[in-house]
Amino acid sequence: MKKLGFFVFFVSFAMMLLGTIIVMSASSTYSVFKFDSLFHLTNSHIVKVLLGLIFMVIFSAVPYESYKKYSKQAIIAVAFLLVATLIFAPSIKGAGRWINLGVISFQPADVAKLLLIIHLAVLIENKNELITNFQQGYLYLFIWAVLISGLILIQPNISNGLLVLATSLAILFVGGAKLKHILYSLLFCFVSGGMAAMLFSHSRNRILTFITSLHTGGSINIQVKQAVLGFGSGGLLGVGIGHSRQSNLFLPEAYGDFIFAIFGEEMGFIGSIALLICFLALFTAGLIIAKKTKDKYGQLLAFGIIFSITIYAFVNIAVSIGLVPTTGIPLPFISYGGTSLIFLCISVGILINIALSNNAKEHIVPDNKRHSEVRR
Amino acid sequence: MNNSRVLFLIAGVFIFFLAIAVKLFSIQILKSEELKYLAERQQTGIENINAERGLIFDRNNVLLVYNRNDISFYLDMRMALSKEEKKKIGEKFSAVFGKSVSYYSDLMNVSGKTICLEKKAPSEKALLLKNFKAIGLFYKEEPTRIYQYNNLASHVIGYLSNDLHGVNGIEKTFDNQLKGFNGQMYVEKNAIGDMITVAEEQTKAAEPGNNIILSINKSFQIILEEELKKGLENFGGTSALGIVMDPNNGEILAMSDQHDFNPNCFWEYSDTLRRNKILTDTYEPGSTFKTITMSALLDQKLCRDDETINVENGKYKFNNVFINDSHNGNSTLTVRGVLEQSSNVGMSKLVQRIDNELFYKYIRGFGFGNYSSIDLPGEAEGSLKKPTGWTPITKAFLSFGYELSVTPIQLISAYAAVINGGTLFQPQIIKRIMDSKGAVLNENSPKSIRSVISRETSARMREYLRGVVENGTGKAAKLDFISVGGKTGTSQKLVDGKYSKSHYNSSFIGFFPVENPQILCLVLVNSPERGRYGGAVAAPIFKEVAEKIAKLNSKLFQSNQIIKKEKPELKNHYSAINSESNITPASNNTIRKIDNNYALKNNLMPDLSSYSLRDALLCLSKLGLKYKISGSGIVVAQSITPGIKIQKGNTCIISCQESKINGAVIY
Repeated sequence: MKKLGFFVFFVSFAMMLLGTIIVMSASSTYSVFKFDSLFHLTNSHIVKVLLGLIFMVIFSAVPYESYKKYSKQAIIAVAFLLVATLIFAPSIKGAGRWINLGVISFQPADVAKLLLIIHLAVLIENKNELITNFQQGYLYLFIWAVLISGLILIQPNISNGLLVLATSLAILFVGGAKLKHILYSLLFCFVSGGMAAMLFSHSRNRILTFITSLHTGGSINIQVKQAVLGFGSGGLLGVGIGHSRQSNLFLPEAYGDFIFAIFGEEMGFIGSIALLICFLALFTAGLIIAKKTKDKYGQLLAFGIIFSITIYAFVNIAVSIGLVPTTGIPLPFISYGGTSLIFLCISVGILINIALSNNAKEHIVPDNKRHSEVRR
Repeated sequence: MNNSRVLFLIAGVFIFFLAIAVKLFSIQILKSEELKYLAERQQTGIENINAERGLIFDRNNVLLVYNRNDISFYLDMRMALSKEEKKKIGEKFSAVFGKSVSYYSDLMNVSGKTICLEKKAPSEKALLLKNFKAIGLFYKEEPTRIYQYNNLASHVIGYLSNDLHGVNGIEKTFDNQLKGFNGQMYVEKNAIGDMITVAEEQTKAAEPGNNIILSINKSFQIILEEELKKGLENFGGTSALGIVMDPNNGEILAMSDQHDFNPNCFWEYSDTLRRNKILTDTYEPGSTFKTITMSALLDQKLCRDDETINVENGKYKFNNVFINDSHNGNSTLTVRGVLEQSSNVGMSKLVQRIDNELFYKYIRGFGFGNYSSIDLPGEAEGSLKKPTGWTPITKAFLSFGYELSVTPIQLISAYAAVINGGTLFQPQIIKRIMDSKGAVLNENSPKSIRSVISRETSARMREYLRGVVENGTGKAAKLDFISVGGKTGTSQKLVDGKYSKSHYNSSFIGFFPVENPQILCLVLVNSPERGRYGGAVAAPIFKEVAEKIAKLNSKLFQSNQIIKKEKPELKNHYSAINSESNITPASNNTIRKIDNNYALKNNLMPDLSSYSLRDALLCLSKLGLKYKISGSGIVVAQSITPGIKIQKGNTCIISCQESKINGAVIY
């Protein structure tokens, strides 16, 4: 378990290092154009990476059980924060997602996502068998999941909201909720979510362009078109780090959500697959940590964190190659990070702590006992 | 945690992974070539490198036309500038260019397009803005053609349109020679079109255009233009045309059409003013044409010098048409006298002795009714009826220059044949063409078209024409120190199909020295207001021109005369030309390029002396120095001592002087 903890740390660290290099390559032209300085965005990114690493180390030392006590208060507070964001946040590109605390501005959605995972894990452990009961168990969990993801959704931040919901449902699914309940609530979500998506113009347009492109077989939008050109010119081996041409303002905000296109251009097919395998390895490591964790809360927390990271990574990549409609979510560890990178590091820190704290107890708890605990 | 459910999710994630991998494979491996092509198409581009246009020199290598790279400043208003930024730009530009701040703020009061803040600013001023940066502000180098002496020889040189194509004169005829070949460079661009890197190995450098050395002599040109201007002031008139030609080879030494224009700002002048009327406008030559008639008669030995002709006191009815003499009062004149007194009656009587076909053949032989094929655009061929179309009076009227129309260039070429021994030369305006490195590409040799009259006839005609100036209508052209021959001409202009009583063309064509003509000069004043006869209007102008040219080159004439006498007469013109062209290599050496590489590499001031002006300017702008020029030609002095460390932005004053072929400074 200790080994797994270090593995997670080093893979994350390596990916953030790689990310920094790619951000440098992808943002330099834009930085010069916009800020008249080659490293303007890179410098800001490096600060966030360093902060992230510090937080990762700090949180890997905080016992994960300590969050149990305050998870309810925290999730209520963050719900209020999300409501406040809806009311007060300035609108960026038609979406008010940021809250400004003077020194630092951050997306409450990032905090909410982590707190929801913690709270769901806490609730599932508390409800135990009751989770199979719709009214007394499942409904509580589902309401929290829908409330938080719904608040994120109507910011509007459709993609983030949907992914938070998906992560929550995955936790419920793994946590032992009845499949029937999940399917019904999923149906309910699709109907109401679909209606909500058509309600907001910027998400509606994105969905509509995606649907149109399926008919015509044409390119999805300019960002994806430019991203695909980047992947294509990368070929098998790539053009080499720092040699991307698509980052010369052809691909808008290449250092952000579409950074994987620049990565694919510079590192080629081999590099892209290697990065995907890194995420898979991290996913596997996370699952093993979850599996080997003694308590249900720790298990679900570890699972939720690693599932969330993986699903974000894969959806981001799928977006950049035109597999799913364009969404505004970053590629974990790699993208030019706002504060979301810091919250990502915190969640990785928690995962490492789970791995480290279960190290000693691993041999004491018999395997079959834990099994029966889950089954009961 | 439910194991089977976790496995189910793992399977889901793995399928997701596979889908991504397959899609990546299809994009990055299968479609790679196609996408790479599309990407490169938008990422790279071909940029033109403008070739420097060739320079134009006069026959003594005086630089007349060169290029300067001016800098235009543009502002992309799509960048949505803030008020403060606009104010900053306005104030800076106002400080540099001296225009008001509000002028610039008015310009910037648009959005969504690129505006030009300052067009073709001289590089001295543009350098002041070198370190000034603002969002959306960019500059472009734009070549500007500089006509060093403004109006000088404007009709010969022509001008460039805004898209850098020659429109008139030499600039048009030799556009292909002058323009050179544009180079290309392959550049990597960003989405906005800014250049990022240049692929050096794929860059093809621009080839500068060829330099043209005119046959024009700048000092003759100045004399001719000044005198024509004075003449216009003295006598009035719509225009005054003048040509100075070397009769022995057809080279044009000066050519002017007053009023002229300034090719540096050609757009301020009307089309009519920019047209070279010497080539484009035809007129009835009048009495100046009697020389041609007389040459034909003498060549056919159809009259003797001392023969007397009854000129009927200047009024003679011929086939029911009256022919009048303007200078009447004589009852009889000798054949010489007919020409000297310019008697129309005498001419029309004499011309009856020659057969129609033969007379026509002579006129054609002298080049009338045909293009002179000078290397300048827009030439007219004039009109000359064939003998089958002649009426009974046509020959008589032809004999004194009516019923045909000619251009001044045709007439002066014909006169050259009359006085030079009988050979008609194609008039030439170009002496040689050199490439930008100074190698001669094309040396023009005299192009003789045909022999029209015999050498004896020519010699007699020279004497006749001397008589016109000494005893006849051309007395006003007489010079004390050198013998002059010539012929006056006054022709009524056709206005609305009738010969006008108030509009005349007054002309004079003269040459000197009579014994061995070196300079032939035509002066034509259109509709003079004071005076009408060629002898009273054009001849005095000719005299001034001739006197100044002769005085300027008195030594030259003497030495040339000696050369001529030594050589066998037949090869006269050729030997003269050959001896001149032998000197050419030396002239190239005087404008040599000194290798100042060492100085340049170490950022030291190079020695510019004996640089051509263009090379000097190129060198200075490369060094980032501002410059001021005095004079033109070859650099003789510079204000920054060679070998001194250069400080960018300093001003270097260079003074230039024009040099003659053999290296001696003559101006």
